[in-house]
Amino acid sequence: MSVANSNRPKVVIEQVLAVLPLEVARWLEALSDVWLDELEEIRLRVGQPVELCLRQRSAFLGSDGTLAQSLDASMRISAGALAQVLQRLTQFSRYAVEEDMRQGYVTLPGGHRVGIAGRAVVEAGRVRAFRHVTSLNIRISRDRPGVAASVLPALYDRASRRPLSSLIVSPPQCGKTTLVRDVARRFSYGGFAPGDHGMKVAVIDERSEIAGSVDGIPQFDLGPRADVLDGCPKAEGMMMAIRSLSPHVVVTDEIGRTEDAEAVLEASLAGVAVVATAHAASLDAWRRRPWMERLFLARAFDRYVVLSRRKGPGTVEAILDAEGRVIGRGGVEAR
Amino acid sequence: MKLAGASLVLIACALIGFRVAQGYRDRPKALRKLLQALIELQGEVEYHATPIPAALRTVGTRLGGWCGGWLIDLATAQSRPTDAGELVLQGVSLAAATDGVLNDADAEPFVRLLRSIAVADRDHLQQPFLAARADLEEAIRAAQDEANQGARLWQYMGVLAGVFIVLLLL
Repeated sequence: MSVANSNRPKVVIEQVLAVLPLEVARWLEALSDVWLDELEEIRLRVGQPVELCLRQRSAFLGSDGTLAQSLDASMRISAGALAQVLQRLTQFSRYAVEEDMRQGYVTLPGGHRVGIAGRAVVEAGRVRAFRHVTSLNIRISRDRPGVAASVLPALYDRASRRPLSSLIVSPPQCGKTTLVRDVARRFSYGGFAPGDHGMKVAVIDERSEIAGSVDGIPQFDLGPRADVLDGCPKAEGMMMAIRSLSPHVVVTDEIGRTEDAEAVLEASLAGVAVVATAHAASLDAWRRRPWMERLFLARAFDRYVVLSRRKGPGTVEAILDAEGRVIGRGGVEAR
Repeated sequence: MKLAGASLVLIACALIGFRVAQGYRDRPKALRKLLQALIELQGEVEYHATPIPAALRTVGTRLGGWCGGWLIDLATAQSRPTDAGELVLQGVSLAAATDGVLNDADAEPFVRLLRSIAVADRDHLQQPFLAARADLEEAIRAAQDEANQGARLWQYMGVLAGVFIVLLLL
């Protein structure tokens, strides 16, 4: 398994720089490592300044390469430049990312997700394509080995030496994917509890964010016992993994659809632990979705980990058991 | 001595003629290789939905030879940082890759195809491939006709030119 990613800020954003307009890429590269390390998103909007979302604030990229103090001094993106960025981030192969683009995103090598906004072309009530793309939101993906250390004991049953099915819940940008990646890695390497010698981990990486695969090869270290189904729809992938990869634990990102819930239920009945993430501000909010409530009532998950950004991304607010009782208190910054 | 000189001139001219004739014969073969690359690329793109640079690399590695090298050069050219919004293929010469057997204009159907599929969705991939394939097949037919006529002509020309020079010198 290749481990091409490094945590050095310039290496992390290397693949992002390759798709940006040369001038923007040049100035970003010239920014100090301190800024780059804090960089979470690069937002490009037609006719608007290049916005850099840092950990605690946002700033505009100045036309002189510094962080601009005013809107007038900021570097703006033309429609042509944005179209060129889109061409490059699809690798001049719109057909290859068609399904992702329908869902409003494209994933760059290295697991950086690019959100798309613009004029949607709708066919039979379903988004078929985007005609005029007016905004791109490039979310920088980072690997933080060790972030799962504080929650891992709660996700593992020492008596049976088995992983517990767990759901990581948080609003966007709170570090769900980073945490789930580290959980997968720790389970795969093993050795975090006495008698644990590592487990077979099947990673269903529909959006290529957990493993950050390039040409199917994971760029993030997921340990020696991880099998990655890259670009595979979650529900289908979970069933494929259970049938053919005999995993101890299935790891996936952002469950929400009916078929995802059915696959999680199927996995739990098959005796395979599932570690997944979901968008919600709290467990109660997550349960308000009809199918998710069904999952809760079926006790498909043994543990719920609620994250926030209160003390920075990855702040563990609470760890709850299958019935929603708090078994671990938060305020812990996982990163 | 005279006889030896005359033989040398004759052989040299005949070889030149044969060499040019060989070029005529190599052209359809080289174009067929391009067609094979196109068919394999179609499989990669339509069936596997592989992005163009990766598809070019895969097919290039599989084919090897000058054609494989040329495809990999195309893929590398696309990966270079640039401000261009379309495929940048400058500096990737088909003439150089084939030692002059093909010229850069022969790559046109291929390059046109890459530009078309760059913006096509999966439902509309087949048409550009069919068009490129038709263009290449037409080019192969023309090259074959040229080879049939030109190769023999240049062989005769070489020998006859040699005889003519020898007669002049005698």
